[in-house]
Amino acid sequence: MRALVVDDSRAMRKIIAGALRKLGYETVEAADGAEALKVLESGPLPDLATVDWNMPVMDGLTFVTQVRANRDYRALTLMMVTTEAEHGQIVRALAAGAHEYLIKPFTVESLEEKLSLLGLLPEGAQA
Amino acid sequence: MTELVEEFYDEPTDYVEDEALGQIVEAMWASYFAHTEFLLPAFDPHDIEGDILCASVTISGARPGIVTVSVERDLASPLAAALLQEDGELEDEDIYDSLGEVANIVGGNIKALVPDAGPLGLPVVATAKPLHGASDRLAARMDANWQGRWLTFEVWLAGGSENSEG
Amino acid sequence: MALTTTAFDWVCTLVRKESAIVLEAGKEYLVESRLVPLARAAGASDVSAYVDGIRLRPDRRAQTAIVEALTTNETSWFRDGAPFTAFSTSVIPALKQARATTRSLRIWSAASSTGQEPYSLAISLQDSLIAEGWRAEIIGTDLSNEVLEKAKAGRYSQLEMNRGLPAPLLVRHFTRVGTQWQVNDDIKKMVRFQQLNLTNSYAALGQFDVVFLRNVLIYFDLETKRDILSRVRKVLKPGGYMFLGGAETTLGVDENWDRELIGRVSVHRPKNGGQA
Repeated sequence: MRALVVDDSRAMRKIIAGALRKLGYETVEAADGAEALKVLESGPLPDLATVDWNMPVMDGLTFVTQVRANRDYRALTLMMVTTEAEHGQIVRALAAGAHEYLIKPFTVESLEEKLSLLGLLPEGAQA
Repeated sequence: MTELVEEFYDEPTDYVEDEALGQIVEAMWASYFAHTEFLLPAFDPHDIEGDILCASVTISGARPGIVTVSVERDLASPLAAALLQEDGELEDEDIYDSLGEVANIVGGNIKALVPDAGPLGLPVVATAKPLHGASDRLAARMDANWQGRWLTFEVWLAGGSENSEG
Repeated sequence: MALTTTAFDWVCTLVRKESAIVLEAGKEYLVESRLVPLARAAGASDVSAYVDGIRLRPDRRAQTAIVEALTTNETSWFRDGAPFTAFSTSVIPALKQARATTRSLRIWSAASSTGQEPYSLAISLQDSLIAEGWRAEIIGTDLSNEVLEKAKAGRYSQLEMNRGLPAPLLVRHFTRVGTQWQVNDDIKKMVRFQQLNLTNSYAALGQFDVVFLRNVLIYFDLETKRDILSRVRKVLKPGGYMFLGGAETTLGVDENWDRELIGRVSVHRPKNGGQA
């Protein structure tokens, strides 16, 4: 399974991608929404994208909106992973089409559990 | 115009307190730094002497403010190494990025306590703390020790009477 | 410093010996984060130092505390997922038919801990039965008053909210209060909490349509397990359901249950309609 990790922080990309790889994912990274769209355009569609909210160039909410407007990307599951923690922000993200939402700081355990909820835990991975 | 003035009768410390800041920082430590030494909160404020690195994020909206994390210069690299789980010398870029992400995480959770907040700004890393407007209040502060060196988290919010348009 | 291999291996061996639970390589982060509170309380400088201290100077109580810290995963919502899916997609519809005249259900969460299990059940019911005018009562019991107090408050930290709770359910059923999240009143009032030692009488609890008895029997010896299961059977209404934890079974313990499979989830029904 493939995952696209979108976050402007290299540290956070490393944490998330590292956790996903331990679970059996192949990972690819992007530092903002625009870069992430380019990744989607140029390669096979990932199964999962983790998306930060506040990023330069194109933020996560805009990226989610654009992805969900494109029928070619219908099979891509979008999970926001962000420090935006207000009730209203979560509602906005879900309304824009995000499938799940993980608030930073998060433990690797909780990331696994969210993936399990989405049915996106690769076979043999420990939940 | 009158409505704006009415909104500022409350004080920043009405919604952001030291305890909340402490909980947020502890949660972050438990999530990303559990494999390292503990973060030891100090009872009294401890102003860091010497060179520091400071990462800050701005809160916009009805009650604008700024959340900062300042560390002793020598602490920045080990802190980043711990977050990245990497050994050895780190590039400056990674050090600033890691500290910026710490500010991002704390700032976002602080922002959620402030009514009618707008988007969180992107982290800015500098060698000094940011300057504050005359109307800014220190709503919360946490000083802590990690590996024998000091960190300070601060939350400043606009408070009191009128505010310039934001 | 990060957990040493020696320390991690020792912890894994201890946990496997005491609880039959296997912690595999890659779970170092779990061991570290779960043992932080214990290590701090003991005055150790970090988790590795704490573990090494106990490894080199055996301390029965400390060992038990370590095992408990690593084997209790009750802080998750909809723990293990599948049982709650089975509950919502199969058990509730079946009970809707069976209880069509009374239009009410009673559920017992028999190791309710800090409340995630009963509130998860309440959320499942709210979005289905309650919306259709049914009544439901959920009783949550636990041995510890401390966790019951927390469960009654229904207030959870953000880290706790990240654990297994689907985001759409979070926004629908919880409200932020400071740094924490509070379960909404309509969910909260479906659940009543009380203290109960499972080895004591259940007479005051009444009868139930469903009992969740998950991951608590492991703490008891065979005779006590047998006793608990037979008394649970007596508080289950005819046609009722019991859910055990993932690795748990009534086989070899109490033969008066029929096991049904809902997908990959086992549910236990009292034999012969129950209430023997």
